[in-house]
Amino acid sequence: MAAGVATQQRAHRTRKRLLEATVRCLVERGFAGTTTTEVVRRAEVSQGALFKHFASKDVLLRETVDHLFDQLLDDYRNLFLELARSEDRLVDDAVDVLWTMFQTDRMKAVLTLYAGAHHDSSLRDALRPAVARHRANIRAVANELFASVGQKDQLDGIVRGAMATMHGAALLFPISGDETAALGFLRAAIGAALEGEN
Amino acid sequence: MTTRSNERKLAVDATTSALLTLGIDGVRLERIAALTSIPEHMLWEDFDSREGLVAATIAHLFEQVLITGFLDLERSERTVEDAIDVLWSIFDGEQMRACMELYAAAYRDEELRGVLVPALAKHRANVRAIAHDLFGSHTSPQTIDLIVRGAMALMHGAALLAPISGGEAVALEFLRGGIRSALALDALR
Repeated sequence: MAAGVATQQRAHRTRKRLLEATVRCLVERGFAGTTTTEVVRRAEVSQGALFKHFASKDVLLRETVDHLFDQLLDDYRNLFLELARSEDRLVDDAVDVLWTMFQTDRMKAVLTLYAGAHHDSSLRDALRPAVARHRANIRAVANELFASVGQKDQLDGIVRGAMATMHGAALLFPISGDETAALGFLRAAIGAALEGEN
Repeated sequence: MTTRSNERKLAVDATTSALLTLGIDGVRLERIAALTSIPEHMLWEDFDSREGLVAATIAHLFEQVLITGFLDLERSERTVEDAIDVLWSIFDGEQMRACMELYAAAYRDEELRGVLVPALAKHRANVRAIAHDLFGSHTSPQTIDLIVRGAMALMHGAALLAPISGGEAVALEFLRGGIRSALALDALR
C-alpha cells in the first residue's frame, strides 16, 4: 500500500517536472524550439518517461495549457479577492494587478502558444477547449468578485475588452517598452462602461 | 521595377509566407533562397542578415497596412465605427498575423527586438498622424495618443485570440464605447 502511494507521488512529481520544463522551454525557446528532446533534458527524465505520461507532443502541450490556466486562475482568484476588499480604487487596482500578471513567465508561455496556434492547426485545436474553459472560469471569478459594480452582460464586455487589451499590451511591451497609455485607455473605457450602465 | 527590386519584393513576400506558415523559425536565408530561386549570396548582399530581411519585411508590412487603412478610411464616412471596422479588417488579415509572429518571438530574441523597436515606433507615429486627421485638430494630442495606444493594444490582443476563442465582436464594442467616451471627455475640457 505504502509502496503504491510512493509510486503515485513519484509519478505526480515527474509529471509536474515535465509540465514546468515545457513552460520554461516555451518561454526561452519558443513554440518551434519546444521539442520533447529539449523538455526531457530540462526535466532530467528519459524520453520513455515523458511518453509514459503524455502520449504525444500534442497531448503534452494540451496538458501544459491546462496546467498554466489552472495556475493563472488561482492567481486571478487570490489577487482579486484581495482587491475586492477595497472598493474605492477597484478598477485602477484591478488593471494594475492584471498587468503585473500579464508580465509573468506563465503569460509569456501562454502568448507563445497563442502565436504558435496561428500557424499550427493541431495546437489550435488543442487550445480551443482549454481557452473556452479558462474564459468561463474567468467570467465566473469576475461575476463572483465584481457583482457589486456591474450587471453580468456588462461585465462580460468589460472582461473581453480588458483581456484583449492586456494580451495586446503584453505582446507589444517588449518592443514598445511602455504600455502606460494603453492601460490608461483601458481604465477610462472600463469606467465609461460602468458609468453608462448606471 | 528592376530585377533587383523585384527580387527584394519576392524575398519579402516569401518571408511573410514563411512567418505565416512556419513561424519565425522558418525564416532563414537559405530557405528563402530555395523558395524564391534567388541565389543565397544575393540575399546576403541585399539584406546582410536574417534580421536585415526581417527589417525589410516588417517595413513592407507596415507600409501595406497603412496604405490599405488610409484608402479604406478615405472611402468611408470617417466615423469611429468606420475606423474600428477598417482597423479590424486589417488586424484580421495575414499581414498583421505575420507581424504578431514577430512580436511574440521578440520576447526571447534580442536581435529581433532591435529590428522591431524602431519599426514599431515609426509605425505608431504614422498611425497617430492618421488618427489626428480622422478625429480633427480640435481633439488634444494626449487624447489621440491614449486612443491610438488603447486601440492598438486591444486590436492586437483580439487578433491574437481570434483563431482560438473568437468573441472579438464584444471586445470591439467595448473599444467603441471607450473611444466615444474619451472623445466626449476631451470635448468637455
